[in-house]
Amino acid sequence: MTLKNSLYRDSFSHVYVEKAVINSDITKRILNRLPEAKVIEINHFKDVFNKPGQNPGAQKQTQKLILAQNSGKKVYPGAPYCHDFGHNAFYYTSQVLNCPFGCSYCYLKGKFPSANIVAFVNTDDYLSELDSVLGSGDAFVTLSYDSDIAALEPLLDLLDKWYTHMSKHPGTTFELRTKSLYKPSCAPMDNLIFAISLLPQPVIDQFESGTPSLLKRIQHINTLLAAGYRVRIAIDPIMDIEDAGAIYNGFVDELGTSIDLSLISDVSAGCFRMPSDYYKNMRKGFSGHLIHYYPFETIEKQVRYSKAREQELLDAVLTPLTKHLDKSRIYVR
Amino acid sequence: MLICSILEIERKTNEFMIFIICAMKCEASPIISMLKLMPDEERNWIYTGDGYHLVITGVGEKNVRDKLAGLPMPVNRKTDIFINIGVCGCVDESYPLGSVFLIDEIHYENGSIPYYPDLLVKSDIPSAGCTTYSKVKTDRDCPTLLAEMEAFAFYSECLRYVKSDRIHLLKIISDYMVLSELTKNDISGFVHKSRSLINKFIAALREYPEETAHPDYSNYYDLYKFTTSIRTELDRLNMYYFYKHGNFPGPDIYEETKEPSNKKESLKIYHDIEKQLI
Repeated sequence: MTLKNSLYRDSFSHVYVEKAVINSDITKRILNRLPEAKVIEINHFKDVFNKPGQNPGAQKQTQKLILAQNSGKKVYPGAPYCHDFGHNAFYYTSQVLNCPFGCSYCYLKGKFPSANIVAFVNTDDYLSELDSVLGSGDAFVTLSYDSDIAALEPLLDLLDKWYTHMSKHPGTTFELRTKSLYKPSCAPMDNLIFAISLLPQPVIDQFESGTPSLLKRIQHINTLLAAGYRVRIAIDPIMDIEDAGAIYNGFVDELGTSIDLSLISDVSAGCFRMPSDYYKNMRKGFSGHLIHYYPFETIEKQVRYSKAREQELLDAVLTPLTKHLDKSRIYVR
Repeated sequence: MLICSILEIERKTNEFMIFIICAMKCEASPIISMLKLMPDEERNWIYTGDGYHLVITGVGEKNVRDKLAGLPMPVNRKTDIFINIGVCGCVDESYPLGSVFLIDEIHYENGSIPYYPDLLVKSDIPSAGCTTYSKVKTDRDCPTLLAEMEAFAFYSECLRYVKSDRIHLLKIISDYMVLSELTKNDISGFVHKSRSLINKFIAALREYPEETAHPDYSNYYDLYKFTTSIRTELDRLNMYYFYKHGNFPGPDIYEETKEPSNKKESLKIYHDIEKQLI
């Protein structure tokens, strides 16, 4: 038995619920799925999520759930750090804050003061705001921005309303990015793309605690493709490890032989990068991993590998990838 | 010689203290005997034992704030743990006297934003909310299951010392918030009966992981006349080396053949060490 199993409570042992949403149907549904949880009524999610003196590194060992109503902004313009895949407009939504997985490179560890998970249950308000933001032209909306919302879907069940709503915006491409093996509850749609994050197994072992293996993710991609869903592969963030060249070369070859890449919509790739203030916060809150002490460079307020190392790492992915996929279907950041 | 001093510091940082805070001597007595604590020679409100300090604050917010703000012993912000143990009133008579609760929300009578303690460590003890009152509460008009007089001040004062995951509160029901003649012996009895639960909880906290402490390399840094920024950078690279290799860099990396006689030589030594650490 590991220390974690013996010492810590199960995740979601306590659920904090804003009084404003305590009687909502979705809250009741979520709480029904957590019959053992102690429910604590709160006035505002920030009373828990932003409380003083938190240790997110410790909280991450046993995350609690906060159910709340987002009465602020819900749809934001996309960040320059992220791919817009050539669309005219780029937006993101954050209906869930924080993620159940423990990836050590994740910017969420520096973005929020807490490791607990917030789910805003007023989905209809998100959809209304989206309607007011989107025009009739081409746009790209990513739904799983500050979380892996698909990984939490078996518990939260937030996506069905989104799927129904997507048909109202045929000019908009919606992206759902995940490392999970989530099976969509909707039929395939032209304007819905599942972006599955993939990295070599040694990188998963070193940096992506609690996530499915590469093999399982590849099998999942093949299942989605066979069912007719649009799939994007995200090789991002490319992380530096020992023998990186050989490992990434072998990884791309494995993708080429185990997935019919002609069926993949596109591939996005990029090396590790993080806003420098998030990186500082991450180092304060999470100190137990090599990445918190790596000799990165800070360039234009972004922490990243040196230019030369970045190029080496990108080449290790892109050179073999272009043997399988046309360059026009590879997006590099 | 130098590496010995590094190892010595590593050992010392792996010891941490649990601070047990009680309002009254009668609450503390069963714990003092359970943990075999000895009274401090100068201060009769402090008891100490192997890995423990027990502080008796006196009843109420002001006493708690005064005593915790003026703790005479050092607190290690990264490793030490605080526990408040005391009796409380309960609004619901279906819970037997002597029932023990971990506190999961702390309200204050004036309606301040409540505190929500982290509940990370597994425990058989159920959790409940409490409200802190400035005077003894003798009616049950209370928004939480439990009522008492110190928790809010205890929690806010402890946040000055440690992060929230290292602050815990255990409350034991002593009455149902009606005027009653509760004796000191009654209170000691309730705590005494809860000893095994308290002991089990404290034992679990003893397993709580500490942050990896960075050994002190200042002997080397002084010897090589490193600037503050170089020291900071090397501290970071030493941690990087630790997570890469599983041990901190030793004399094979830090021992140089001679001391630098100028800034240029100092910088060269730094770059030599840096190369080996990366």
